This record gives sequence, C-alpha cells and structure tokens, in this order.
Amino acid sequence: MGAIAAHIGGRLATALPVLIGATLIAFLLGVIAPGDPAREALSQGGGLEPSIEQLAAMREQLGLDAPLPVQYAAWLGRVVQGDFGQSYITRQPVAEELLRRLPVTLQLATWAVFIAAFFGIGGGMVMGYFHGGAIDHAGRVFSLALLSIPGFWLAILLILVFAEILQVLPTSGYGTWQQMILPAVVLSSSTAAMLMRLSRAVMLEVMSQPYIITARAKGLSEPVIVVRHALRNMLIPLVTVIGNHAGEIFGGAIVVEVIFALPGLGRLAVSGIFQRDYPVIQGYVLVAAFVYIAFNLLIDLLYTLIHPQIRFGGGIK
Amino acid sequence: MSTATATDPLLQIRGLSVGFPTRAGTVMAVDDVNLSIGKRETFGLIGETGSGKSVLGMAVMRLLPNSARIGGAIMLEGIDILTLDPEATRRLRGGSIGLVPQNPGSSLNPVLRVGTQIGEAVRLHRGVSGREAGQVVHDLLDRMGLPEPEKTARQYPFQLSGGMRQRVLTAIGIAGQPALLIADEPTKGLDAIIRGQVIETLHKAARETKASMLVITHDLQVAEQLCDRVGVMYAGKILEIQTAERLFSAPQHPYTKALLNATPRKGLVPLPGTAPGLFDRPPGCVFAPRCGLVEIACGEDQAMRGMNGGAQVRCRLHAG
Repeated sequence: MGAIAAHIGGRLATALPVLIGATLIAFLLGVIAPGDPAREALSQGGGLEPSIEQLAAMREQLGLDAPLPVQYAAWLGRVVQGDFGQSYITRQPVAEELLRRLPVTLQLATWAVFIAAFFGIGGGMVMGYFHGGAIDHAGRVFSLALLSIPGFWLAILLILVFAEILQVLPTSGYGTWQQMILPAVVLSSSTAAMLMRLSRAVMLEVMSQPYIITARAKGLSEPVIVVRHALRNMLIPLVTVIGNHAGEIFGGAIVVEVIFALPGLGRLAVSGIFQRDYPVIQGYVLVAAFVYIAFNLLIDLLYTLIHPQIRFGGGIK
Repeated sequence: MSTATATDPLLQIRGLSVGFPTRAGTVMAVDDVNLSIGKRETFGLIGETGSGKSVLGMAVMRLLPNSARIGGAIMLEGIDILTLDPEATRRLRGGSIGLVPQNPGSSLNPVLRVGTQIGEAVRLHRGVSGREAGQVVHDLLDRMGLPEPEKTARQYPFQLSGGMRQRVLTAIGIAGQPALLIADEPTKGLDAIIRGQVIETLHKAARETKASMLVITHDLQVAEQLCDRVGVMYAGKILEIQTAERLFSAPQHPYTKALLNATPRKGLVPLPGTAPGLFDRPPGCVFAPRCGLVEIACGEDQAMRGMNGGAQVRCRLHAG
C-alpha cells in the first residue's frame, strides 16, 4: 500500500509545476488583455472621465504599478483564497459563477466519459473478437464515420431524429437526466470512436498472448477468458488513453453546452470570450487546468488498481 | 517389454494430418502421424523448430486455429476427441488433458494472482469451491516444490522467478487431475540449473498424478532423461519411434543418427543442408535430399515399420 502512496505522491509532485504553469498563463492573459483595469474600476459608475491623478492613485491602490512578479504573487495569493476577481460585465465575483456552473460541466463530462468507455471498449472488443467478420467491418466503417463527423453536425442530426421525429428526448436545457443524454452522446462520440478502433487493436494483441492459450487450455469458457483474462490486460493501455482525452472532452463541452443550452462552464467561457470578459476567461483557464490535472490523478489511481506491478512498487516494464 | 502399453494405450493418434491453407497452397504441418501413448507412459516428441511437433500437441489439445484442416483420428480412452462438440472439448481441456505451455514468462496472466490462475482450473474440474479450492491450490503449489505456497498464491507472476513460474504452470497443468499432461517445450530458453529443476518437476507431476505425459521438445537431453519412449519428427512426419534408452544408444533412422551426431557429446558433426521449407517438401522420403544413403527407392514414401526390439522406423533401409 505504501507503493500506491509513493506513486500518487510522485504524480502529485509532477502535477504541481503544471498547475503553476497554468496559473502563470492565466495571469499573463490578464496582463496582455486590452483595457486598463484602473480605468475600468474608476468608470464603474459610468459618467466622468477619470483624471490622470485619479488613475495613478487607483493604479497604486490596485498594485498595478508593482513589477509583474510581485503582481503575480499577489494575484496567486488571491486565487488560492478563492478570489478570482470580478466579471467586467456582471460585476459579480467570478469564483461564484464558476462554482455554480462547474457541476453541470462535470456531470456532462462524466456521462460522456462513461458512454465513450462503455461503447468504445465494448464495441472494440466485439470487433476484435470477431475480427474479419461482418460485425468487424461494420464497426470499422461506423467508427470511421463517427470520427469524421463534426460534433455540431451530429448534434443537429440527433436532435432531428430523437427530439423532432421520434420525440423521445428533449432538444435542450438542463435539469433532468433525459436532457443529459443527447449532449453526453455528442460529446462522447469522437472519444468513443477512437476507443473503438484502439480497443479492437488492443483486443487482437491481448488475445494472441500466450496466457490466453493457457486460459483456453484450462477449459475456461470464452466469456470468462474475454472478461477475466483479456479485459483487465486491455484496460492498462486504454485507461491511459482515456486520461489523455480528458482535455478533448472538456474542450468539446464548450460546443456541446452552447448547442444544447446547458448552463455549464463552456458556455460561460464562450460568452466571456465574446464580451472580452477577461476575469471570466482567466477563471475558466484555471478551473479547466485544475479539472484536467485532477482527472489524470484519478486515472493514475485507477491505473494502480488495475496494474499490480505499480501497486507493489515494481515499476512499469 | 512395453507390451502392456502397446495393447492398452491411453492416447492413440491415427493418420493425423494438420494443414493450413495459405494463398500459395496448403501447408502440411503434420503429415500422416501415427503414435500411441500408454497409461503412465512419458512419450517424448523431438524435432527441429518447424518440424510440426508443437502443432501436433495443439491438435491434441484442440487448440488449433479454426483455419486448420485436420484429418485422421485422436483417440483418448477410446473416444475420438476430434469429433467432440465445443462443450465437451472444454471439459477435455484441463480436465482430461492438461497443458504445460511454453514461455513461462508470458504464459501466466500478468494481472491475476497466481492462486486465482490455478484456482480457476481447480474449481472447473474438481467440483470444489471457496476455501476448499484454496486448499487444493496450496497443496498443488507445495507439491510442485514452491517453498511458501500460501504466499506464492497471493503473488503476481512478475514477483516470481522463471523457475517458479514454470512450476506454477505445471501446477495449472495438473490442477484438473488430467489423464494426459502435455508439456510444450518446457525447457525452452531456460538455463541449465532451472532446466534440471523443470525435468524434476515434470517427472514428479506425472508420477504423483499417475498421468501419461507427452513432452514436446527440441532438447535431446530432456527427452533422454524424462521419457520412456521418444518419437523423432522431421518435416511433419515421424521418422522413428523407440524407447529413449535405445534411441540414444542405437538410433535406426539416418536422420536420428545425424541428429545425435550433431550433439556436443558426439562431436558436433553438422548435418549438411537445411530442413525442407513448408512449400517444397520432397516427394517420397522427406529426409532423402539430406540423407547420405539415398537410392532410387527413397523417391517413394515409406511406411512406418516395426522392427525387432519394438522400434518403428520410416526408412527404406529397414524395409525388411
């Protein structure tokens, strides 16, 4: 068990520089943003153009006259305390808005990851098991099509079929699980298709291993061989790839949230970008980086559960 | 001297042929093989890589790919196992016939505990479960000479040495108390000390379970030390079958003689030429192109002939 702690500890140590890098980028985003925060603060109530003296005083008050490293340290101190600044548009604290929207995006992304993993790995396994057969060929065409179709187009297609023609699922909105299905399916599509193709290859590879012959020679049934002996070995490379795709899913959530009118982080980021609301964009970058790192730590933890060699401190071959 | 085994065989292979269809024609990996293995007998099958010995072993396990074209009969205790349905085939594997596979490094599942991997076979073929199955697993590991069976059962393959893995695989092979144990290249890639241990372990496994054994090997020393009788395979055909003792002291077939002369003990005399490729098997005697005693009659395929002393030889010289 100490080996797991050491492994996770090591991963945390490597995650820290990444997190610091992300804060640096988010901070610089605020620096290079057009507009003068001191002027913004002074013209908050509208009306008079502030004088040069007023601006200088405000700059000093906001710490904007200090060197950039000092500003960064002060900004980072506020961020760590949960103060992400105020939106230029709504004048509301950005942190509160982010926290309100984070669960929506997390829910969407979680659904998408599970759908992609279930159908991608399951489909790939069936294709690999019956490789060369009709199911395999159909699956390869299907996965290629799914990879090639843009998400927004698939979204329109699914809305047309399931919401307009069949009328079994709502077109948009947030609140019920039915409203989550179409967005999650769209968001999962490219990851699912990629996983399908990868799982097929990994399945072929694993099923040709000598230990599968050993399992067959014991007289085990094919379902037991596939699930107990093949699947666990397949998960080692597949889980890694799912972790790498977390960023894609989180980024893809932006488009999906806009199409399906989900009140998530992605939509906040889009409106932030259109309105040049830099504190909001800054906040989104920070949260996205944090979620990405947290997700990959979770993947690492899962990895240690699947891979006994890490659990016992043997390292990976 | 081996009359009892000849009249009452456990396994009888009759006219077995295994072909694999390819674009360039069907490759005959095993061609017209006849052999029988008596109860509690250890039979060795020796030959070079590509001679078809492992394919023969896999045919007996019914583990050949679906594309294989199989002819002839494999009778185990009077039943032709080539006619069994899939369900009966699964009971046969691990139950009636156990396998000790080659490559101890990769033949164990890396993500499952040793105890789990042996326990599967125990539960499937002995009708026991739970703690009782665990007890059988510990017993098997103990009998295979692993010093701490309880600890080993909880370990993963990567935590074991090569020799220990080979013993675990042997334990899996005998877990279902099979009547026949097939050891496929059990010493391939092992050093001399571990090789000695493997021979000892297999010998013990066969003795304790009263199983017959088919040992497939290119290691002549293993065949000599472990086997009662030995068959020599070349280009898909068996050229000679004799008791191990006589095969190594008085080989009959020119190929067997040449093979033994190529061992360090006999002075490393190389055998000229190379074994025929899969697509250019010569008509008639497969060894004729490399044989120093070729005559016109070698162009015709020779049948296996019994000789005085129990040897069977496939050669014109022994035609009568």
